[in-house]
Amino acid sequence: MRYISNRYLRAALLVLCVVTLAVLVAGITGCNERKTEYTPDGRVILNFWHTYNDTEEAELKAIITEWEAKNASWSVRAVRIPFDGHKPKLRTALTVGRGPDMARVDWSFVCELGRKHALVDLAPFGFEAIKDNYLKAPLRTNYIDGHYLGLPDQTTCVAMFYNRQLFREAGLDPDKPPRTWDEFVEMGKKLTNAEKGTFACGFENTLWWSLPFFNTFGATLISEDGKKCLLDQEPAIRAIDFKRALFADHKIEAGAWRAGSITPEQGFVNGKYAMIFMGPWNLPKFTSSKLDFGVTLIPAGPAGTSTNVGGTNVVIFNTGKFPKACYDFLTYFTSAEVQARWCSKLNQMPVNLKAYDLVKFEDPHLMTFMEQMKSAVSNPIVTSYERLEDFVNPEMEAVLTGQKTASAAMATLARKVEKRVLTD
Amino acid sequence: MNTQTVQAEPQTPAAQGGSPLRVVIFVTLFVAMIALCVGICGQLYKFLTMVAAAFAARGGDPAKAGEVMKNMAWMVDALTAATALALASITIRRWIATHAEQRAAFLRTFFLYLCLTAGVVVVLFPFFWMLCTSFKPAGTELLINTANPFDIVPAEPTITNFKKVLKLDAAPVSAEASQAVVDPVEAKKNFGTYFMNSLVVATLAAFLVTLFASMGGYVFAKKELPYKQQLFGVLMATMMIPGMMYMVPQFFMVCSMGLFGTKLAMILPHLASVFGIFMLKQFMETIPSSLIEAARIDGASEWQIFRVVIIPLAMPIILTLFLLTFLSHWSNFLWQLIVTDFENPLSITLPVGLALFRGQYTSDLGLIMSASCFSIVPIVILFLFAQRYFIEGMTQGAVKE
Repeated sequence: MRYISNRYLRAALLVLCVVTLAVLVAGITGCNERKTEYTPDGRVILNFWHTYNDTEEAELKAIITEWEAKNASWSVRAVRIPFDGHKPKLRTALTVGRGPDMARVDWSFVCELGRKHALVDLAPFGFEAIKDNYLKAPLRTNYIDGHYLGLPDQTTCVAMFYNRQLFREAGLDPDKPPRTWDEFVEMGKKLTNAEKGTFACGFENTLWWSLPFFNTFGATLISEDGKKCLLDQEPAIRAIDFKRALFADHKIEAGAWRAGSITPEQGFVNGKYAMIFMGPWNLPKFTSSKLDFGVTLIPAGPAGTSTNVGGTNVVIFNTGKFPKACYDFLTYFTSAEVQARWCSKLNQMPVNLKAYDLVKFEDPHLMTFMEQMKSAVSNPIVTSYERLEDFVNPEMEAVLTGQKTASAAMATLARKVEKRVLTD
Repeated sequence: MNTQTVQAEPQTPAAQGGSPLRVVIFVTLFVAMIALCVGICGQLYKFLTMVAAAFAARGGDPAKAGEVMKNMAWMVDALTAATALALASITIRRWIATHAEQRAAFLRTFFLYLCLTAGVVVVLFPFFWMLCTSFKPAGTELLINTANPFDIVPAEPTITNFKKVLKLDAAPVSAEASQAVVDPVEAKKNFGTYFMNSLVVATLAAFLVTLFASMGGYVFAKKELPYKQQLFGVLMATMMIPGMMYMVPQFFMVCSMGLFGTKLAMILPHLASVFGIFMLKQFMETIPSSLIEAARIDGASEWQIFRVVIIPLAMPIILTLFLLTFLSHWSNFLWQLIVTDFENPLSITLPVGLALFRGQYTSDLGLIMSASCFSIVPIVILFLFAQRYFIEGMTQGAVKE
């Protein structure tokens, strides 16, 4: 064996290591920030990261071309990133100063970005004057600590899908689906045939999918100031207890939320569940499966019919140098005329109230969703919505499986959420 | 089956005076085997006819393909029956030819083979489901045959998903689009590009990681250097830190080096594999030092010793590391997503490209499954060629003599 025992060799190695480290440090402390880019004809390029699919992307590019024709100084570069992973992508890019000027993000991500001071407040651009044009519930997901930090570009909600064939087989009128929770239970008993493996309904048990229950019972989950969790209040307890009763007492819910169970979507397509909550995104899929189905409003509870809010918002990052130009583009993109065209072509619900009268859908089910959307209540706004789900979901499952009573579970949960989620 | 057989004068069970219990067990296993055979072969032959029908139906029309499948249904039944009959006849002949004393061993082997076959079915079922789903028309991916839930081969198949994934469905979106000049980037932005990018990244990364880890492992196993143990301890300690912790600093460094959006950015931060060094060091310690000394006496240089003595002896573990590294880079989503410059869509790799098929609430299952069919091909080929070394490598480190 040869030994590297020479003192000088050791010293040389040490010096080499130090020099390499110094070169690396010098290299990495170099400027990372994006420089302003221009098109060959001298327009300033605004980078817009979006998560649209192929069809939507084609439509977006057409809208960009229109906007650029009216705004000679600017060009929007639409960059498609996968929705799955857009959060870590944006987090890391913003950390090293390589973020875009504006982006389309999940509704739940706005709060985190806002509280990390990554977003531009829209008020100085005159957003107050046009904010009432937008649907209230999706817009509310952009209202963070007294500031509007984004605007909705696409919105969805869930409504109730029902299998018309199963209604007929149970002797029910397929044109008269349940309108209230009482009717839902009553019809549900007729629709359930446990021996055949068919159930009146199958539900997910995550917080987002359970929000229609909370909202129809008039429950508010987080206080207006964002400091108090109200899950231990009477309406929330009644909502979760009602959901438990559907499964445990009335036995009309299939337990689709349990691990290994048939999911609501699969159960509905295969005629196992007569009623499910679902969004408009599955309308083409259900239609092509040749299922005879209908869509109706979520059954009314003490607070009437209501639903949750899904979709995405568009935000402007404060690392960009041209927030006003971004704002102009995004307000154009979500204007009534553009929204009407976008939604009519892509069968989506508009976010702009003025576009409601301009949109014409061939699919009548979409009109039900538009009606349902009017009764939507904003989702809870917290810094990390995922973390809120992480705390709420196991407690709700404990209630459904009978391990805890609704009041005990919600009391514990409210304190946990206040301590671990609302302090972020 | 590995049972001894009596060559002369085969006798019936009754003539041999076989135990009735053994006969009952044999009949039970026999029935189970036939049921398993009918189930597996029925689905396999149906799948093959489905593939043929899907490609035969021009334009990817599921109804036409369904018609073709219906016309070929008799072939599926006939082939299934023939296979079951052949298997039954072979088994019965073996049973008859087996001496009464060997019947217990025969039944044990029979039972073992049945269990293994059932195991294979369980393991391969997800892959079969993936293959079948990739041929299902949009909207029918979740439909189940309620009469027989195990019949997962679509009745009306289509190859549209494969066409879409490979962008062979050249239908213009609109009249304006059909007249527009074809964007070369858009034309190349397809699954084939993602696939090639991943192949380059995974192969290069696996080769370099293996090379550096072999060198590192050799030094730590066989060479003397100052603070070797301490240095190795520090290296091992870095394995305790979750990879997520490195993500932002590594991204910062990659950007500062001007590598953002390049294939090198996907590879560079993972070239120093502590796990690889550890694995190879453990293996190389088992190589006798006398071999190295003998080579040195014969005049071999350090590089020659490493190349001619160490590398061939450590080949099983090196190939194992190559496979493991290839797999991890082939399916690495998060890091590749972070360093991908989406302004240049031609740099997108497979895991990131697959994610583009998933939306906020929807997943295009048919497209994902058909893309997955292609994506598993390199891994299957690698395993087929290197499985002997792979198994050897996995087990050799466990024994130290």
